[in-house]
Amino acid sequence: MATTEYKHGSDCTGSDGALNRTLTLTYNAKPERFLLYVSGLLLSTLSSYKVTHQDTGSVITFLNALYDDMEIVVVYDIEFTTGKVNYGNLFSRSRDNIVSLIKDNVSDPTVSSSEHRKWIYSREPDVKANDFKGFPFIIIHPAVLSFDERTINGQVRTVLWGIQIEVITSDREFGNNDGNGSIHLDLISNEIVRYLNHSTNTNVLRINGLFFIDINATSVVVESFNNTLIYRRSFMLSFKNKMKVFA
Amino acid sequence: MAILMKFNINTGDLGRVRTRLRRIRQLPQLTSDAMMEWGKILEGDMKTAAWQSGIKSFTGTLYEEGIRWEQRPRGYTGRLFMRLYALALDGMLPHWISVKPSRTGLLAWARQARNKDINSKALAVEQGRRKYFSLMVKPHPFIMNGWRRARPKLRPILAKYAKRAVGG
Repeated sequence: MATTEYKHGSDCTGSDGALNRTLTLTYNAKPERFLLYVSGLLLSTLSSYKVTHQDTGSVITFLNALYDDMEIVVVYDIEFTTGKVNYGNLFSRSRDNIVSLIKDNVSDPTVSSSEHRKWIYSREPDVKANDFKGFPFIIIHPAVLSFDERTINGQVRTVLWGIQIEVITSDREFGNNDGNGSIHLDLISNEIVRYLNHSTNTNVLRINGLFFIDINATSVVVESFNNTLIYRRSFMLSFKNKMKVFA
Repeated sequence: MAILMKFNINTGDLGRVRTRLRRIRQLPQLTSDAMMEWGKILEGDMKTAAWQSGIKSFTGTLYEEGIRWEQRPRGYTGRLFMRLYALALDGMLPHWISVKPSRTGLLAWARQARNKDINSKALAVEQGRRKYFSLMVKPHPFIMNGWRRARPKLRPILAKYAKRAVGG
């Protein structure tokens, strides 16, 4: 998922005009898609800046003098990292773990392994937008959270997560894949179920604090949209864990 | 008299049975929770279906409280509320309407329309050069799409909560 951050030199550490001032981004950025503009000029990573990618957000170090009034624009792809769920990241990390698992394992049936197409979303994409990359696509909705039993002081509780994954295919798909909506729906669904049930992946989820995975698939809904047929299947995932909910 | 046998129902299998029975007693509350979770999904799916059918957000409050799920915290009845104009948008027959100065909302929409013909006619009405002009309006069916999308999700959600209560 691409994001853009607009900053000024004054948002960086250090004083006006100093060398090696640093700027911390909101998310961890993917190294392969990272563009940095200062006062409208695209900077080169060799001599102008260096980036340290870390879990709490990438840190940019400006090697040359940076003034407070300079405009900084950073365009980057957010790196979803798997990691242990704790009381501080109950919503974000649980979903990130699933996004990462799906991204790493489920393959897009419309492109070859050397191509890339955005096909995982967090909400329904605007299919009429210019940057829409076509069907099929997967929506991984934000996590739903509920709490159950608790210890007397309330510090440890049973936490229950629910994450909905939707697979949407169409009879008019990306490239020359017309008429394959139903076939691709089953192909993608097969892979999702296969990899979510795989012992290696369930172990990874368990290590990251998501225990007792339960997968329920819904029946297929066929809709007519823009004179084409859309096939939709949802997976309702649930996990639970007994864990600390505050420090 | 000596004690021959002593039972403690908090240990082993009996303890597990006791926990399970306690959970089963929570089943009514969990059913209500399941319905609330599904109701929120239904509300979201209705809003998405409305958006996909081409209903714009500035025509009303459909994407805010115009479509909403309401349920008492421990109630077994939930209701999906929807503004009346949403029902009209969903099921009306194509018909002609007049765009005139007294219909301010409609005129404001016509002034922003992408279609240059509608835009210029609306400007003429606004400036008083024209009394009104007519437009053909068509339905934007979305309720069945939203329902079809949300309905299959009810069973897995109920199953999830039932497992939580009975399955432990």
